[in-house]
Amino acid sequence: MYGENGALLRAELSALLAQHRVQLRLGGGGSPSVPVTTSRTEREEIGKQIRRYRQSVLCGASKHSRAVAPYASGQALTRAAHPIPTAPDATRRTSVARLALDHTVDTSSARLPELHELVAPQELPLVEHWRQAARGAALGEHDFAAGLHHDSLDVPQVHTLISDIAAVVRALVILDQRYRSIPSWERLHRAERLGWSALACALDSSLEPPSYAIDALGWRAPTNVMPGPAGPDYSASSRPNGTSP
Amino acid sequence: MLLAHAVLLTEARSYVAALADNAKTLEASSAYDLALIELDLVHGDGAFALDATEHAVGRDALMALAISAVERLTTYGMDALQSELLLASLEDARALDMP
Repeated sequence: MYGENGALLRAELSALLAQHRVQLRLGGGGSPSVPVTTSRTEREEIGKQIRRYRQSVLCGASKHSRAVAPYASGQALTRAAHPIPTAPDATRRTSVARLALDHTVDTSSARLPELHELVAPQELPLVEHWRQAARGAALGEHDFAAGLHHDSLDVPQVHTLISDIAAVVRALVILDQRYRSIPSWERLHRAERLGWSALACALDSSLEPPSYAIDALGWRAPTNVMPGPAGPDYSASSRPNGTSP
Repeated sequence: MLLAHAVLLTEARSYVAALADNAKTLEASSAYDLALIELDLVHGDGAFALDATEHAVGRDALMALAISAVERLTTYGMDALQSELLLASLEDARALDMP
């Protein structure tokens, strides 16, 4: 994955998908050997917090799809004027997926998380995974200026990025279905349409081999050589050409 | 692609295809087929023909074998998120296949 933020988002979503029995992880019932540590009201609040983090990830996916294919529109789905088949274009499906994504974002009652919610660590590991995912999505805006933009990507790279956005959206749809047992949980509006349109995007993108050159793009923390003389831990492996200190 | 990776990928495809063949309902069979498409989606054109030999084990054992094969595919570079999405698809298909 490209950049630190994208890698963080994907890693956290993978960790969330690997976790089942959500009520148990929120301190609720579900196993006779594990005591209930949270009340229903507390689990409702945790659910609201998770939905705020989810809203951040949804908005991040929407912004990435706009940055990658800004000119994709529903008109591209109309039948071609000539019968000769053209090369598959993943941006055609992107317009449909973006419409579904925008509809889901607009109809959600959850607001975006505030800065202190993104920064302060959460007590429950499950919510902490959501916080890290939301943090990666919020910081993903740095990627647009670091090469992940329509102007600086070629067609295979655009397809690869669309496929990755689709994977994130599909993960959110699956998690939404898994979290429906949380008290007062609000499901994604028209989640099935969102999931199927994301799968169509991924299938269209997979018709061409992915471009791994995109791995070099995206924001990374700036690094620099430390000036000055070497410290006492000057080891042989860091000496240029094996020179003696 | 290493030989061990190719063998493991063929195993995973064969188990999911066998699950689709042995499903009790048409919906469950379609869901297993969708999981197979997702597995091929990850590997592109690198997928090999599956082994159509009929397995002499039940559906539960086939599901365990399929899940194990998909999980082991991550050791050969398969993305963890794609692996989890595929496992979720298999779970959905199994939920449809429950008697």
